[in-house]
Amino acid sequence: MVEIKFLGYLTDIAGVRKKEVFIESPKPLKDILPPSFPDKNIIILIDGKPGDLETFISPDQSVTIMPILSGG
Amino acid sequence: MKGYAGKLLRVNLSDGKISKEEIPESMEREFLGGRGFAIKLLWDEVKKVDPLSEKNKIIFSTGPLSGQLLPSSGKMVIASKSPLTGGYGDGNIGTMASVHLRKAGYDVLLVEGKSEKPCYLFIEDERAEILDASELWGKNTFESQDLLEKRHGKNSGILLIGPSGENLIRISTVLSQRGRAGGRPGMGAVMGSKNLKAVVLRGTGSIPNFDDEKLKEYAKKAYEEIKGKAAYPFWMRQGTMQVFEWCNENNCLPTYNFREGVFEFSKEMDGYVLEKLEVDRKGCPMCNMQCGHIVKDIKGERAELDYENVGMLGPNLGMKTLAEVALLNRMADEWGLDAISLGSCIGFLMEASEKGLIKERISWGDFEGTQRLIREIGMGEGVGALMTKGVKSASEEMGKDSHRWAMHVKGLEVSAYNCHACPGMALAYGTSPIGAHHKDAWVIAWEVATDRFSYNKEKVEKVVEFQRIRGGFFESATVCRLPWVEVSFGLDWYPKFLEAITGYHRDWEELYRIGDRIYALIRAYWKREIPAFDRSWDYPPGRWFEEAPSQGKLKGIKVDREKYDQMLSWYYEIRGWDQNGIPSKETLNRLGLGEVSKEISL
Ligand code: SF4
Repeated sequence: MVEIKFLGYLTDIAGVRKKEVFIESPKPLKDILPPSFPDKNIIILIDGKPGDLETFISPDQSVTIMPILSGG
Repeated sequence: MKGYAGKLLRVNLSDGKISKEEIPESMEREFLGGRGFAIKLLWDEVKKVDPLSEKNKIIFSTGPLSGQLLPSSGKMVIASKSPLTGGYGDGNIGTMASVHLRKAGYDVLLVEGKSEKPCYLFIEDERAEILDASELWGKNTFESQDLLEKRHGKNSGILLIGPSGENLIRISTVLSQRGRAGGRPGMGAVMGSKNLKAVVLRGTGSIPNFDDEKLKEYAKKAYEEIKGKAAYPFWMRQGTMQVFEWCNENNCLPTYNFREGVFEFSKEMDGYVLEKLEVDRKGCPMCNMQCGHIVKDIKGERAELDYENVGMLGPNLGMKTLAEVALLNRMADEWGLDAISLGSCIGFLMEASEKGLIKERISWGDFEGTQRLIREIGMGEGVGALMTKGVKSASEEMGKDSHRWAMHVKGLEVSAYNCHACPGMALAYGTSPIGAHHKDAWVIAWEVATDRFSYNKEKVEKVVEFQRIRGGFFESATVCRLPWVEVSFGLDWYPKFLEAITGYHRDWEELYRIGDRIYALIRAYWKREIPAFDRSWDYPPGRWFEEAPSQGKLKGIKVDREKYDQMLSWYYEIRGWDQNGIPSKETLNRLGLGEVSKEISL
């Protein structure tokens, strides 16, 4: 099970703040996200480490995707 | 140059003289406006003076984009020699005063001298008067705003101070429109020292632009573009408060006087809680991204919240609910205290109490005690007397190693980002031209996205790039920086706006150069005013180097001092400053500031 957490406006695009996706084998992150998902100005952390939409995700990993912000 | 009124209004409160002066076109070209004008005027006119004496001057400054019918343009810069830091101080504020100043036919209002009695300025187009403020003195900023609106009309541009500014508390700021604030490094105290309670502006003219038709066409498209952005609906719901969850997730939420980067009650005060409590929304003039979220505080009063204030008065003090934080924030606004510095001062006192360094007992999360402290700080009484000059001075008075956890740079309290695991952001704070504020370079998102633990030159280059755009351009243009990153509004719009307004094309390369000139002059100002100024002033607080957080995914991580030092050297190198952070003669010459070197003995 891959746990994906969305922050900020990306929750609007994903439709949820958190979801679990079942995959059998490693897959590029973009394949388990909605097709309309933005590819710019986002931060992707896979088990806490920076990644991108092409990064292969294994079934037991957790992903956090958040927008680039510029502070209060 | 078109797009500027080309006029400065000078008001001397000592002799009552009011005069109009031309702003030379060279100043418009070389310094753009806003912050650029402010540092040029301070450099020329405010030398080696006590910031709270009548010799200091306070500058209300706009740029060519301010007050125009353009996205998020209702901003102005308020600047002075800072009584909190002793160096250059400024802040931007979203206010109708920006629009009215421009429409009254001025780019800059400069106030000097000191009135014998409490006064306020009333400026309406050609007319400018110094009026009696005895009825307003002592009143909080909400009551004063009501009174002035009743007298001069609801739509007037009003800038004012609260009782803390009157009491010369150096963390006092300037307020407008019941909750907009600007001028963190003590601009409210400077107004107080002049017995100046408020400035009321009314302008009915128009700004002489080069091509109004073009500008209208751009504005229409630009507003539409912003509204159509994918991030827009969420921004409208949470505004800057979305940063709360973001910071907690990334372990950089200021918690318990910056000891920790995650907060156990974060779910009680994040942007989703705000959405539930919100009763109204407000914004700066000309903005379709209104980010002032109004909630009812725990006593049912309206309070305007944004991330910085919530971060510093919430987790930093261990408060448990957003409704409590809203009340504390409302009190800060009423008193005219900067909520960021106030949160830092109270966090400092709570830690001092915990360590047994002060007699008063005030524990983390003590809501009643915090309200009492706000009143005492606003009055400069009781234990609040220790905080009248901010945490730097308090720690010097207290001794016992408290400087290690007095969270400031150059005397200005750190705003709401904990940087134990963000060395690039620590550098941004270290090198910010006013002290530890985030507006010049919020590099933290970029570093989290790439490699937050590294100390490479690319990171330093990024700090400089952000400073050029944010601290250089946006602060001088003078418009809000938020549309750019928060909803990805294109930077390529801004040279187009400038060209339609002024008739001159300036690309980003030239705008960067203007930013560099402004930064170099601000640096020279620090050096001239504080001869001991050197690289040690560009270090963040000891806590980030010495004490790692004990909670969260990044517990145990702190900033490496030697590597920070290397980044600082790279920073100076990129900027063309010497190893003490002073612009070299060659750099000053290159930026057309050759004359400056004599005054800082280069
Ligand atoms: S985005 Fe917020 S701070 Fe910026 S101009 Fe709009 S209301 Fe003001």
